Amino acid sequence: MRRIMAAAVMWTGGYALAQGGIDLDARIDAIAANGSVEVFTLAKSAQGRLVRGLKIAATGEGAPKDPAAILLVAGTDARHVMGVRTALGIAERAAKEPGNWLNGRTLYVVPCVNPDGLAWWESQKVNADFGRVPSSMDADRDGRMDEDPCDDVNGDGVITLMRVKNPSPLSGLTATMVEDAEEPGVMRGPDGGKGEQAVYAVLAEGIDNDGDGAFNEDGVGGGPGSAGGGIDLDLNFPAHWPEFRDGAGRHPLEAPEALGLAEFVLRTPGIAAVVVFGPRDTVVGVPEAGKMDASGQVPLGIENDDKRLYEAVSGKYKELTGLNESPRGELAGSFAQWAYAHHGLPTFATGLVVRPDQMKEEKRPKAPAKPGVEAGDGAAAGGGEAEKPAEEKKPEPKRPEPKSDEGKWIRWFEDRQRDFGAPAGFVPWTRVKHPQLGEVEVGGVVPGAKWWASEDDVKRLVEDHAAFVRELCGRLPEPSSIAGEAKRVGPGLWRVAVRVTNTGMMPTLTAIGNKANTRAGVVATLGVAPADVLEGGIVRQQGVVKGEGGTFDAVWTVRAADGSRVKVEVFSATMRPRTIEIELKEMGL
Amino acid sequence: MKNAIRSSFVAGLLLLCGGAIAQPDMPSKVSVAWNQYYSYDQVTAIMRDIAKAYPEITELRSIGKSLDGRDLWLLIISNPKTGNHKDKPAMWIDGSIHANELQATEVVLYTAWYLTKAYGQNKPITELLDRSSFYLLPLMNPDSRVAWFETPSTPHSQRQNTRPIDDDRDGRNGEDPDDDLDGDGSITMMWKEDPNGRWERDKVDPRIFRRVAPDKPAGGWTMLGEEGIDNDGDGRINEDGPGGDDMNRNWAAGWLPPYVQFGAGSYPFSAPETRAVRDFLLDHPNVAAVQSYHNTGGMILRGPGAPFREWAYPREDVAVYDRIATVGEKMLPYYRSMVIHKDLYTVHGGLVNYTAESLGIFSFTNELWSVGKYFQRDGQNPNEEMQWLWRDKMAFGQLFKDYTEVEHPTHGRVLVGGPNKWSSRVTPTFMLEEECHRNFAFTVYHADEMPLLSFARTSVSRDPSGLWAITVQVSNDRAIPTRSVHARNKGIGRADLFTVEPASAVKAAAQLSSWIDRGMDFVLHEPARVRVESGVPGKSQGGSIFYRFLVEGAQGQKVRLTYSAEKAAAISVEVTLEESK
Repeated sequence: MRRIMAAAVMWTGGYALAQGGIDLDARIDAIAANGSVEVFTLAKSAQGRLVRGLKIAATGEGAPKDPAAILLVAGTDARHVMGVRTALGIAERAAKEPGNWLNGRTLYVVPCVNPDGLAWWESQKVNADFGRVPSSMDADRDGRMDEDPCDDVNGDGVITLMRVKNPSPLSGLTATMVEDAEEPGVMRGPDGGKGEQAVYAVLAEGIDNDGDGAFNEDGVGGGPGSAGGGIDLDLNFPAHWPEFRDGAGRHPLEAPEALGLAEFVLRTPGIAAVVVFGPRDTVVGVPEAGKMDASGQVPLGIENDDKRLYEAVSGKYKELTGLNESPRGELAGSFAQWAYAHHGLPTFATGLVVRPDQMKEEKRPKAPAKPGVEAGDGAAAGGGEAEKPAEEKKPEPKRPEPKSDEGKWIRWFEDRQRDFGAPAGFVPWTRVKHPQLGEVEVGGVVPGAKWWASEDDVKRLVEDHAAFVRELCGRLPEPSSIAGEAKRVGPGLWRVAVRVTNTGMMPTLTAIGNKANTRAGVVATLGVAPADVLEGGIVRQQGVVKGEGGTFDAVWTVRAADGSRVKVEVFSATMRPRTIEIELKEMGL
Repeated sequence: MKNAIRSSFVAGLLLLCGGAIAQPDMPSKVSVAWNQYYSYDQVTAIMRDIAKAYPEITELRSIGKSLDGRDLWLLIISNPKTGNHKDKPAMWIDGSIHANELQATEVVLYTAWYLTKAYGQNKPITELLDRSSFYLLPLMNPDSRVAWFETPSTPHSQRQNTRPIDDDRDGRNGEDPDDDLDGDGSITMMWKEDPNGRWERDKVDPRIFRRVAPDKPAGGWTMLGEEGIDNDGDGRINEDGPGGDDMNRNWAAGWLPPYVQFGAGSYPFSAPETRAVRDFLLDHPNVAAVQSYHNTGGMILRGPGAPFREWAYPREDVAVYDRIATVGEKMLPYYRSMVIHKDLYTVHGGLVNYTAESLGIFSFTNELWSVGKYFQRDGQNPNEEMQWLWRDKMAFGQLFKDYTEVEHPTHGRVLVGGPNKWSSRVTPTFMLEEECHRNFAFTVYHADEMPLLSFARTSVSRDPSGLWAITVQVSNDRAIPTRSVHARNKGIGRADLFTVEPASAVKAAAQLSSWIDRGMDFVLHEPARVRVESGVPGKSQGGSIFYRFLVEGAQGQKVRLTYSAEKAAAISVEVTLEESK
């Protein structure tokens, strides 16, 4: 098993983000040293790294009696390092005090599904906007492999974008964008209504290495606008799989990491909810309900009848984390949408990191106190801007508030660089000589910048999301309240009824769970000879038993001696079988 | 008298020596009877025998293991002396992905048997095998074929694989399969005498039950269903049998989960058998034609399996399918050419959907045997009387199990019996060889239409600039293009490559729309290595592409032109830089 070396890459001079490398295996091993933790392996990557996970549950007296569990998955996209770090942080907490944290549940954590991607992201001196599994392939199908990756044309340590003003006819490029006059740096399509015409061609930074007229079309690390190669794990799952798309793979679950994760979910009993950290969101903005695919049966978002549950969880999530808005990311092909629409589990995906303006004020990151400011000045209060004492304040030119999303990001990058000492998030467009295109300008968002967070932020993320996981643990279905009664119909003939009540908040199966039919709702089996049951057989079941007091009544009419006892066994996907014994004796006569 | 004896003796001698009198057929080194069905072990033995008898043109390999660990045997038939089998267009033929669809296996075995015995003896087949390869997988679902032979079945079971599935969601798998209550090796039907029953028994022939019209008085019998008991005591009979996944719903094109598509498996390629075939196909992009055999109904089917996948079958590709299928209809009486979702039913994630839509291969799936062939005169569906004539007088009762009384644990006294597992879907054994041969011949025709390229014309002239202009026509003499329009649209597979050596000599390259075209569509980059995304179309769609290369070089210098395509054998020609006459 290869270890991912702690390559603490502090790139001094250059835009690549400080990558304080995560030694994934070492951290997993450290967590596993806790007695409450078992390590399991889901898959082996193409480069030989193991995709590992942690099973965390209280031991001894507090050990779970039922298999009810939550699965936490992070790291499908290697750029989303915050997800990996947050998942590890939560695992560490839960492992230390499982009794306290887990409410008698089991927590499965897969902190990084894409170890090859993470290793690639952390080891590159030149950072590209690439979070996929870095497998070699003939991305442009020209019979060559990896012949034209991106290149760091201006030597700034990151692969961003190039813009070419009024590209020449022989360059093979077409102008498609303009620079926004009001928001410098922001590139967008021309507004025909305003009479704008496209001026710039925009493409990933690089040269045409193989002279075929295309730029950066085949090579690991391709950035936006190029083929890039590799498999994007969130395009490689079967739900609404985007076939023929670059990065989707040749077929669903082609990546061993994806296949291993799917197989793990399929074979692990008791999972009642899934939490995903990565560039997809289904919990800040609840996906649209009731929209189906071409077959009319597989939801593109969520089922109508799951809307209430999702809105409740969303409300709680936003309360705990302060997030108001989060970019959705498309769900087609993602792990999150497969876990929901194909496997039938409520799945809450979140991107974790957003801009301050997308958060509640009280939850926004606070700038650390600046030197020269006395403590208690209120310098740490307020929405992320350090207040300087009156005598130091210099009049700052009032800049117009950015309107576009991209513009807001650029503004936030500047603010956090100034106030938090964060690394630069945007490379300003700078002219540089290009061997084939003459003069170009290189610039754009630094890869990973939108998901960067300070150390303080990481702590906050872990706390808030540990609280969320803990909250979910407390909401899982709990169909363990079982009561039985019997009523005499005639001599040796009894009506036996068992009522199973779900005292948990969530239903035993969501609407999609009931549709997908992959896990059992509640099944009650009467322990008598089948011939003695007068109608139907000995098994009764109900998929959806609503939460918060929802019931399932199993009723049999059975031939049995007065005064005898019959047993009923009840089980559910999240509950081990329980047996109740009913005495065939009329009550209260 | 003596003369007659002598001449017949001579005739016999000549016959023995295969001399002047033409043989109606060629003997095989492997003796196989084509009027019977073979178990998994027998199928394996036949394949081994063929490979052993014809080692120069065959290779037997296992491409993987079934769920229960049986080998999936593949026979590669090609002539290594004319090139590696991967460098030629190949036809893939498989059978019995649904194990109960028995005769599919025999048809593929027959294909192997006939191709190998005809090679070197028969001109058209020898030529076909010299320029193309065959990948033959007679039995894709060996586990369930074993079950079909060794355990009681119906004509419709075991179709799936053997993966345990909790059909009735009670937490147990396969706890209530069918039961062979009368021990005849088939699962037939159960009948109960019932004064309110809606079925009546024929007064003359007690084997016949007929449904009574709703407005008529009760018939005296109730049909209880397929043979079986309530094994798990849950009140239902036979609700959770062995396995499994329908492996012909387990492929990645348009795959939908089991709640939409029954039997689809947990995810595309969840079955080891489908995975093994997929991996082989991905490794062999030279496969240019696919046939996947099923039963029943007498059909030559192509995709799409659902109306919302019609985009994968552009008009030009449909024309190629129609051309081949039309000939097939002529070769296969009682077979009709159909489109799966339009004329049959919806299929999500079928094998030929994957091979056609994900891999860009022209694929058919034939449903073998049609009941119209019983009497070949009376249209598609023989009536009840004809059915019994067949069962009694042609099959001598071997297709029907007479009713016996059985004491059923919950239903009491019932009659068990009826048409057995041989009675439908499966080609009658005495008609099997013809079924095999006609379908085999259709696949030979399909294979024969795989791309066959040539440099139809080349001409060299001096351009005023001083460069040499080499004008080339690459032709495809067959119906199947080197790239389907669908493959081109979606970027499936590698583009064709037109290369010129030495590369440094090539200054420009352009596509022409015809031989005499003066307008040139210039290739902007790498003129010595042109990517022809559209491929060479099939013969009925023009069948040619035209290119012009502007080359720098001395008079008399030679350059080499090579055209390669994934689904065709590459062609190469040396051209001398001198004015063509």
